[in-house]
Amino acid sequence: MNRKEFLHQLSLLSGGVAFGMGGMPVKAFAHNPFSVSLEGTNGKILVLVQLSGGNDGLNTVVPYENSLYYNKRATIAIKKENVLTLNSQMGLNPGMTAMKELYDNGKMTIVQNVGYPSPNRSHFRSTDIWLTGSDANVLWDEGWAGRYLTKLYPGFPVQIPEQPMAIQLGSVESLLIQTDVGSTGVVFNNPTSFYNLVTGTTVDNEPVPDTLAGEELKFMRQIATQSVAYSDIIKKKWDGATKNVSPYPTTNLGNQLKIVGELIGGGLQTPVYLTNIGGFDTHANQVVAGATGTGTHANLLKTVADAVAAFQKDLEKRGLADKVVLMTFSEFGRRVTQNGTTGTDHGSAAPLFVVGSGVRGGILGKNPVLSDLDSNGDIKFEFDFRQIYSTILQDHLGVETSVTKNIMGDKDFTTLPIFKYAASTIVASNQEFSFELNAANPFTTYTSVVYSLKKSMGVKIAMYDMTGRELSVLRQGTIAAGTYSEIIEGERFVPGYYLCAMQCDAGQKVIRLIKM
Amino acid sequence: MYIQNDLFRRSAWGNFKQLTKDVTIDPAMLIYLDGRLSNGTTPNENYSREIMELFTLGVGNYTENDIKQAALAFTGWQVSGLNATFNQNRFANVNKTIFGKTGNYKYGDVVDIILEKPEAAEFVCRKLYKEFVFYKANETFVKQMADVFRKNNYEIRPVLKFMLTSDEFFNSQYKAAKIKNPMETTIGILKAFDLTTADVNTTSDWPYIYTQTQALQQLLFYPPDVQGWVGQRDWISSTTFVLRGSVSDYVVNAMGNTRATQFKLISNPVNYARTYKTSEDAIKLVDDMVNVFLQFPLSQTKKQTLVNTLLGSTILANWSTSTPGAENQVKALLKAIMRLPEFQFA
Repeated sequence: MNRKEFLHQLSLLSGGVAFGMGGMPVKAFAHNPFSVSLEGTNGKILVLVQLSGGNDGLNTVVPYENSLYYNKRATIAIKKENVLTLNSQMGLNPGMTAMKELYDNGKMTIVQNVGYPSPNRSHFRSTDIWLTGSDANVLWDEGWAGRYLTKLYPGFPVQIPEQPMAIQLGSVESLLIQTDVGSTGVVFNNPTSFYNLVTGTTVDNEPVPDTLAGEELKFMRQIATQSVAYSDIIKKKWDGATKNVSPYPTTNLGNQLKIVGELIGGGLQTPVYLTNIGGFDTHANQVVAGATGTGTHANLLKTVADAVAAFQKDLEKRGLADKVVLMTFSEFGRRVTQNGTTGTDHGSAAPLFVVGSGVRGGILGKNPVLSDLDSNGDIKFEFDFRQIYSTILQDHLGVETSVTKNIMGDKDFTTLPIFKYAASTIVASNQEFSFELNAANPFTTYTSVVYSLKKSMGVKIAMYDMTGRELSVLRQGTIAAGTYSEIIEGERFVPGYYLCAMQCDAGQKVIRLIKM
Repeated sequence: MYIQNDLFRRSAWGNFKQLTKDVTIDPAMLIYLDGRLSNGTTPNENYSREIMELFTLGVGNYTENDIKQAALAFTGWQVSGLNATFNQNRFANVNKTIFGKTGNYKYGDVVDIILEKPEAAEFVCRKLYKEFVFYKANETFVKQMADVFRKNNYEIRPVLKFMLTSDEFFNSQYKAAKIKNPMETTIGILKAFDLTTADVNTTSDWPYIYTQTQALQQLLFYPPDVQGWVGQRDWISSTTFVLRGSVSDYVVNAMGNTRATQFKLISNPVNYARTYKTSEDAIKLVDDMVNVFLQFPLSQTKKQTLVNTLLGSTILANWSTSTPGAENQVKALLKAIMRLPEFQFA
């Protein structure tokens, strides 16, 4: 099956109903309903750089006038004369000259003391908290970017966008882009090898056995499907991009960001990218004894700074710098007091960086307070990390306040003055129609959905399985303004996961259902 | 790492308490989680945290203070050559309070105290369950396992026997539910073609397997982090899924290919097909091969597609492994079977 046939198979739309994207001022895809354009993002793109292992914030943005810093870190503190001075109190690690230049040019905002209440010091748990945007005491299994992307493309996965919604450079898929309705991204190291690898892969949407094992097979098919669907457009855009516009360091992270730069330059409209660099778990020997501005940690920071600065320069030369913002994050900072092995143990709040032509620059937040630590000896957070997510969603990606709140688990997080101008709203809650669950989920005997229309329009409500096969149509036709509900009878469905999708002239929305 | 692997192999049927104590002062562990660098005055918490979080209790079943106190008890151990050595001067020779108990504990005492907690038996049994039954644990059954585990003083053999002979283990819900790890996938492909260890060339074949399993995210002795491989769905991304297909293609391409640089002892495709009694009946041959390679049943449509792949430009009535070009047709069939999502399951 080639990609066209494949997309055709996935297109579940019948004639007579024109579909737009839920809530977005882009409509009229009727001519090609299954290839949803990504124009709706206004070209705005978010690139995340994950520093895995827990970056030591105090040796990254150094409080070089704070005597407590030097007391608590006798052999690992960065000496005052070595820091790259930002202001009268704070300076960057000497490895970060490239980022210092970004800061000096107002293209980098430093947000101090970022964390969350009741910090968890497990790498795995705290990473998941950052990736999902959950509170410390709850487990979520949807990434925050995944939730954003399903708002942006409310028809997913019944309809899949023509271009990948998210791209992760690497090999093991991140929770960041996973959602209850499937993965929103593709994962690869290199567009050409990805394309070549996909050749020969077959996809289908036959029913799977009604067992737990069958659910795993569904997952495998979805991955196969996305590989086939996206490999050629990624390759095409990448091939079309001008290469070597600007030099990158030959580090792994440098190479990841180089590919991102080329994909964006080639016109790929994917709004979210994830890159990664590991090695920040510096329990031991994070600095060279006697030369604390050098060593493992300084090298890591240099790698990050050089790659990020090269990326910014690349985008500027391509004339795309105002479209893109890059943010670094790490699962936690490290203990204020050093341990006995010239390193630091797991801590809590730490600074992060937001880079792009659209940022205001400067430092947000207080200098880290070392005299008032939590009971564990860690820095208390000043900004919740979800304030920064909310800020990026609203002010960069143009997500309406109420939708942002919804993405963040129906919580309000005060946004921060990171960006020069707030973006115009792209992803808004839909005023034309609503479609919600109206009874139990998971359900056994029955459940129900309720929908309302502001005006008369074409509507189709149908049940699909997780591979997008249409199982039954609950309602189809032109319906007058008003509020209606539909019953979904349990006996018609074997236990498992289903999608109930409403597609109408004003957009579409998908609800995930579980039959027990 | 060899020493640590040997410890795991020797202890697999032994006692989990003893294994946990042994691994605490295992040289590779002392290096990996910094125990050899830690000392009584300014301890390093790395091992202390991970033994509780990842090896015995799980997140939420200890406090930050338990970690700090246990870190003291783990001090004193260093690595000399390939051996762990105890240096009293580096040991925190003071009272420690861990999970409400106080004493001048050493590493073995801490392990005993940790494993007294009921969460420990469940945590370890949950891991066994996830490895052998299904990656999402049935908590009711895990509790039963934990019971058996505790009653047998953390002996591993009885709880394994309990699990592997239970109705739960044979529940059809879990049949074929396990996504093969990269080693199982690659070695499994070789075994499917009856290649034995002796048939696999150490200077050409093994390096290929090594680099491919690395690309598939499982480089033996180099887990991605202290947690180890998560397994199941984590093995699969858009890249690793298609890469698995390229590995099976590569091995099949070596069949009957005198110029192949790897797997020179793999059988000729026609000879391989003739190991099936049904080799001269295209439909039955596909049926039999599918049953060998896949755990999931295939629909008639899919089987027909495979039959068409085998036949290529010939027709059903004319199929024979003696027809010219049969070699390539068998190879096409084998590649197609192993490119199916169903092939990734065991």
